[in-house]
Amino acid sequence: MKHYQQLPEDIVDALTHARRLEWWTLGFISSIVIVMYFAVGSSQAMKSAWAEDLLSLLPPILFLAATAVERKPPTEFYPYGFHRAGSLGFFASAMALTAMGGYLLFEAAMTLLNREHPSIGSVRVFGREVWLGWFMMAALLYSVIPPVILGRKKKKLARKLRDKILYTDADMNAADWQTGAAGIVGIIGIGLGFWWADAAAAGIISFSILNDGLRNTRTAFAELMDGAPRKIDAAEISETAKQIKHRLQKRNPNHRVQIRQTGRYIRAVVVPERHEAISQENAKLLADKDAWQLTEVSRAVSSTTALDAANEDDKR
Amino acid sequence: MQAMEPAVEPPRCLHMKPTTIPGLLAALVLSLVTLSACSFPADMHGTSQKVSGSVLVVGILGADTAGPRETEIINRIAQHFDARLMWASGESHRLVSDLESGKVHLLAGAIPQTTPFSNKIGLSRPLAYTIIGDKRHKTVLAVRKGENAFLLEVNRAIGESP
Repeated sequence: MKHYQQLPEDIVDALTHARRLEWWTLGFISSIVIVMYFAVGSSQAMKSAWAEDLLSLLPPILFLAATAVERKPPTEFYPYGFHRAGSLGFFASAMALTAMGGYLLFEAAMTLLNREHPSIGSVRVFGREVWLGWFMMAALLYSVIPPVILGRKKKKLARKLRDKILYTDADMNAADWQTGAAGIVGIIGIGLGFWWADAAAAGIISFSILNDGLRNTRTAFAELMDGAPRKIDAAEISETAKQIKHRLQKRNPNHRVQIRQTGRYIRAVVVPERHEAISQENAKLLADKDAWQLTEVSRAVSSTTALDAANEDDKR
Repeated sequence: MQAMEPAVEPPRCLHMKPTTIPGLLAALVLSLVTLSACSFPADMHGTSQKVSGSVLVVGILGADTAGPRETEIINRIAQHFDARLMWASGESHRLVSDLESGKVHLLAGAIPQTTPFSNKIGLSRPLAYTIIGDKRHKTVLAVRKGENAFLLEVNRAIGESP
């Protein structure tokens, strides 16, 4: 039995490519987390950048998990299959991005409110006293380069694959390099004697991260609520969904088209306009005294049936 | 800090938005170039300048005199800044508060690296050991937070950690 239609070859290729990219991301981010751990001093932006790198391990893991299970055949416990794994992973990674933005903003605000003056010491290297700020900047510079490259590649693939976890992950990588850059600017600022530079830089960046996070959370929310499919980069209804709905509507007058997104896939249902909830009698037939729980029974047409209105429904 | 030279920008930079990556990099390079001209890192409250050729006020926590290694290092710092030494002793919270407000420049007196004051004071590199309870702790000197040029000088005077 064929549960899902064959994916086009370029999509399959893009998926394999994306998975490979995410493994690279995991490797790079882990190495960054380790390097940064040893360079983190009392710089606020530095600590935030580290926490953020740790958090940005989440989307790649979710992406790899979701793509691994999404095309598995339905089971007794998951009769609809696993397409929604993508939606769930998207929701979690959107929340992670939002949390990151919020955390960053909070930390920066607290540093500014408490007027904390960061102290950065020094280490002895070959008998010379070297300010630790230089090492922090070097670590931050290292933490900036991989996300820039990976993020750009992922964004392109995410659009092609309509993959919102991947898209959120690309946003996360953008956030990574921006906070990294803000950290460098902050440490230069500290070096020049401006105590607020560090926190101000982190605070400014946090707004754009929070914004991305909230937008993604809104879309993820809609997806879990069986909302109409949204665009990948905005909280509007996607063009593809509008088109499918429009064409189905034209072929099926006197019908309503319900369309929703499960992971990267779209599902549409055509119901008669005067479609009502299942009758008490029919429900009782199936569920006895729990009949009130059963609200709909639908029958899918065979895969090759014409898409026009089923004749038995329309007596004109 | 030295005055910046008048910026002479080639006309091809005109289309560059400051928010783009090259813009950020340019800002970075520019600031790094400026840095090499002045003291980097700098003090946020100018402790090094205030002490220079003047008085270095050292607070001793919980004792009347600093230990021998501490005294040696403090003398070296005073010498570097060409400053007279002035010792202050008293209750530790008052000394820490005086350090925070800049009345005292340096704290000594076998301060453990794990001091509970660590979020109020800047710590130097370890210079000796002390026993508290039955645990051995590394001891440090403390400076006002954000005085990074001064801290660098203190660390230089400490030299190698034991």
